[in-house]
Amino acid sequence: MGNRIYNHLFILLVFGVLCATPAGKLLSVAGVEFPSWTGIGEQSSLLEGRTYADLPDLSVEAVEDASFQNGFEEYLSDTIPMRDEAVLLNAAVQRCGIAAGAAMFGYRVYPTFYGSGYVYDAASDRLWPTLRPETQEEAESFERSAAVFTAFSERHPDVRMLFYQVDRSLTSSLNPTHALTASSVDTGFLVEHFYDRLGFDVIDGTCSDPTCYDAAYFKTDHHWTVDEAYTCYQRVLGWFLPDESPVELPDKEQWDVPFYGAVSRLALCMTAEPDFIADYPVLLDGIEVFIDGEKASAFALADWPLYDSGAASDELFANRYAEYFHTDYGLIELRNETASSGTLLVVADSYSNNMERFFAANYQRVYVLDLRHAGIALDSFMESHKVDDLLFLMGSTTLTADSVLDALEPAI
Amino acid sequence: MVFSSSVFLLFFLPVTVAVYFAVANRGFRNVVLLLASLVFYAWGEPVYVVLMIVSIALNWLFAILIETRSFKGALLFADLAANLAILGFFKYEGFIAQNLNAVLATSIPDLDLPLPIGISFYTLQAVSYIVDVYRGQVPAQRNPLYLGMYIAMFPQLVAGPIVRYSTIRDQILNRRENIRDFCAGLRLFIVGLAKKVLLANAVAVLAAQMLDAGGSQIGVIGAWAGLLAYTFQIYFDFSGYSDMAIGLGKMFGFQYLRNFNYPYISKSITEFWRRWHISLSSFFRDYVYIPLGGNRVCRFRWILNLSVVWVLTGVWHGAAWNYVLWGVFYLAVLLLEKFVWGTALAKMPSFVQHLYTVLVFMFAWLLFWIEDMAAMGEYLLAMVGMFGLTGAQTFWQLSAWCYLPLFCVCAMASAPLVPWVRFKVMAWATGASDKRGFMRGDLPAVKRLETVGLCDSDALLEKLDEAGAPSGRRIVVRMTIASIDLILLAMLILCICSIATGSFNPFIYFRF
Repeated sequence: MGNRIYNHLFILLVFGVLCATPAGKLLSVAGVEFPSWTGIGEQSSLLEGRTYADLPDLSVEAVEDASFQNGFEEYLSDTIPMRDEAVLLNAAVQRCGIAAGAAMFGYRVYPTFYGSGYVYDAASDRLWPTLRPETQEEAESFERSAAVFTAFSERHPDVRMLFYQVDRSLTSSLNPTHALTASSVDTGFLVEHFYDRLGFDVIDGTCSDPTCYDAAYFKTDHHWTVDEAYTCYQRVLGWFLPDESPVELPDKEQWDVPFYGAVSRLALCMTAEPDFIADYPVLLDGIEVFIDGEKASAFALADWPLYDSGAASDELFANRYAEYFHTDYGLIELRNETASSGTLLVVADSYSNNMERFFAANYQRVYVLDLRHAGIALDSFMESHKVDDLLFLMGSTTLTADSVLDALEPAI
Repeated sequence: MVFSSSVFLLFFLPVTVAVYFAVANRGFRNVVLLLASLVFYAWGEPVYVVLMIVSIALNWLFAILIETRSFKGALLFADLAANLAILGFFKYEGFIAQNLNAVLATSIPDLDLPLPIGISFYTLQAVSYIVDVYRGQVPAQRNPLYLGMYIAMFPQLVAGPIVRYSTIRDQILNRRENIRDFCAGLRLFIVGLAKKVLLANAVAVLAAQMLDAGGSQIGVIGAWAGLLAYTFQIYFDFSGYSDMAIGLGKMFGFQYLRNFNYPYISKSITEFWRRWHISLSSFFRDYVYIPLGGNRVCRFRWILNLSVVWVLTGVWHGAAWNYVLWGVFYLAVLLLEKFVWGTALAKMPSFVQHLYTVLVFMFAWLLFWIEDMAAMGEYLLAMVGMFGLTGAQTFWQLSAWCYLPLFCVCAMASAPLVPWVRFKVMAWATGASDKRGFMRGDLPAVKRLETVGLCDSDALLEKLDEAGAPSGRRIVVRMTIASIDLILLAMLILCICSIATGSFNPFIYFRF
C-alpha cells in the first residue's frame, strides 16, 4: 500500500511539472490572476527583449508548410512558467561545469554557457563579449567604411570634422580574451583598418588600463558611464572649442536601482554585483529640446525625476540606460540661445544618449542624428542645416552598418 | 515532433496519457495509441503521413494474403519489393542518380526528395513483420488498426528500437498497464530525456564547432576533442531516445527489448556490436545474415554474407559513401578480430582491450560523422598533428577545456555505474554475498536484453521482503529510492529549462 501511494505521488509530481505550462495558461486565459514571479500570463520578456509568441492560426496551409507546428512549439515554449528564470538556470548549470573546467586550467575567464559568445571574468566580476577572429572580409569591410566616411568629409571641406574612438568591449584591447585569442578584431585592428585611413582627425578614447575601464564602462552593459561620457565631451570640446570651458557639473548622484544590462541578457549571466545608474543631473536653463521634430521636455534626455520619485521599474533586466537617459531617436535637436558658439552636429549611435546635453552649454544648436533611424542622407541634412562642427561618435559595430554607410553616400 | 520538445512534453504526452487511461476498453486504448501515433507523425510530416498509412495498409493486406494463399513466395517478394522500393526511392534516389550519372554519364534527375521521418525504422519493422508471417512464426494481424498501432507506434516510430511483431504480439491485447510499470517507464523516460537534452545537446555544441572550423583551424587537440564530443553525442542522443521509447512503451504496458547495453565498455568490436543498436544488428542477423546461410557455409561464402550485412548496415544509415565506408570498416575490423588478432586481444589486460575498442569505434564515428571526403581528410590530418596542437587558434579559443568536466560526466554515464551501485546497495541490504560478482551475473551481460524490472523500485523492495532484510536497511533503500526520484524530478525540470532556452537541439537519427 505504501508503495502504491509513493508511486502515485511520483506520477503526480512528474505530471504536475509537465502540466504546469498548459494548466497555467488555461487558468490565466480563464481570468485567474497569478503572482508576477510565476511569469504566468506575461506577454513579454525583458531578459530576451521581445514579446512572446501568440497562438498561431490553424489552417490547412499552415499545417502543410509546418508554420502552425513551429508557431505552436514557440508559443508553448514561451508559456513556460518562470521562463526567464528557467533560461538563466540552464545557463547557470552549464556555467558550473565550465567554471570547473576553467579552474582545472587556471583560466579566470570562461564562457557563460556552452557556445556562448560572452565570457565572465571572475577576477573583476565583469562580462565581456569574446573578441572575434580577424578575417580578410572583416578588414576589407572596415576599410570600405573608412573610405565612405573620408569621401563624405571631402564633400564638406568647410565643416570641421572629428571622429571619437569609443573603446567598446567588443573590440577593446583591455578585453581579457584579447590575451587568450589569436589575431582578433581589437583596437589595433580598428586603428589599422579604419581610423588610420580616415581623412580627418580622430581622438583616441581608449582606456589605458583595466582600472580606467572599470570606471568608464558598465560591467553588464556595453555602454559607457556618465563619467566616461563627460570625459569624451571634455576632449571633444577641447578640440573644437579650446577656449570654451566645459559645463560645470553638480554632485554625482547614484540611485539604488540595480540592473543587468544588454551584455548580461545576451550572456544569460548575472554578475555578483549589478550595475547602477549614476548621473550628474545637469539641466541647463532655457534649453529647448525637440525629438524627431516634436517639442519635448528636457527631462526626456535624463529623467532623474523618475528615479528620484522611486517610480523607476524594479525589473533587474529593464533597459536602464534607455529608461534613465533615452532610447535611440532619429534626430534630437537642442537649442540654447545663450550659448556662445554655433552649430554642432553629432552623428552617433546610443553612445551619445547620456552626453549630448553637455554640448548644449557651449553650442546654440546641437543636432544629434542617429543614421540607423533617421532615414535621411547626411548630405541632405547638411544642405538644409548650417553645421559648423561635426562629431562622429559610434561603437565599432555601427561603423560598418549598412544603414549608416548608405546615409553617408552622396545624396541623389 | 521529437520527445525533447515543448509540444511533446508539455502537451502531447499529458493529453495522450489522459485520454488513453480515460478509456477502459482494450480495443479503444489501442485505437487511441494509433490515432496519437498518427498525429505524432503528421505533426512533423503532414504530407508523408499518407505514405505511412499506405505502408500499413499494404503490409496488412499482404500479410493476410501470404497466410491464406498458396503463392506465398511471390507475395512475399512483391511486398518486400514494395516496401524497399518506397524506402529506396525516398532515401536513395538522389544518391543513385548522382553516382550513375558520374559513372555512366547518364542524366538521371536528382529529385532532391525530402526524407520522410522514420521511414528507415518503420520500413524495417514492416519487413520483419511480413517475413515472420511468411515463416509462420506469427499469425497475420487481421485487425488493420492493431497492425497500424504496431507499425506507427509513436514511442519507437522515429528512431527505434526496431520492435519485432513477435515481441509485442501478445501485448497488443493482453498487456496489463499498472502503476508500477508506469512509474518505471516514467523514470526511464526521464533518464533518456536527460541523456539527450543535458548531455548529448551540450557536447554537440563542441562537436559542431570543431567540424565547422575545419581541421586546419583546430589542430590535434581540437580534432580529438571534437571527435570525443561526437562520440558521446551520438551515444547519448541515440541511447537516450531508445530509453525514452522503451520508457514510453512501459507506461502504456508494452515491454520492449533493450537497444543499448553500455556499448562503450566493450572489450572488442565484436562485443561492441552486441551492445550497440541491438535491434538493428539483430534485424540484419535474422533477416539477412541467417537467410544467406550465416556462418554455416564455406569460409568464402561466410565472408561474403558478412560483407552483404555490413554494406547494407552502412547504406541503411545514410545515402552517402562515408556510410558505406563506415560499414566496410567495421566488416574489416570484425574479420580481423575473428581471423587475426581476436584471440591475442582477449589475452591482453582489460584496459588494453578497452583502449583498442575505444580507438576503433571513435575512428569509425569519424567516418560516420563527416560526409564530405575532403573535410574528413583534413580532419584526419588534424588528428595526427599536421596542423599543430591547436591549429590557427589558441588552446583557450578552442574551448574544448570547457567540456572536460562534462566529458567526465559523460564517461561515467557511459558506464554501468548506476546498476553497479544498485547491485552493491541491494547486496548490502539483503545481506547477500557478492560471490557472483556484478559483471559476471548482472545487467551489463550481453545477453540480458529484457527490460522488465528496469527502473522498477518496487522490484527492489520486493527483493528486500524476500530476503527478510532488517528494517533499518529497508529504510536506507527506501530513502535512496526517494532521493533518486527527487534527482530525476530535478533532471526533468532542468531538461525543460534547457528546452525553454531553445538551445541547440539537433537529433542525429532524426534523418532516418
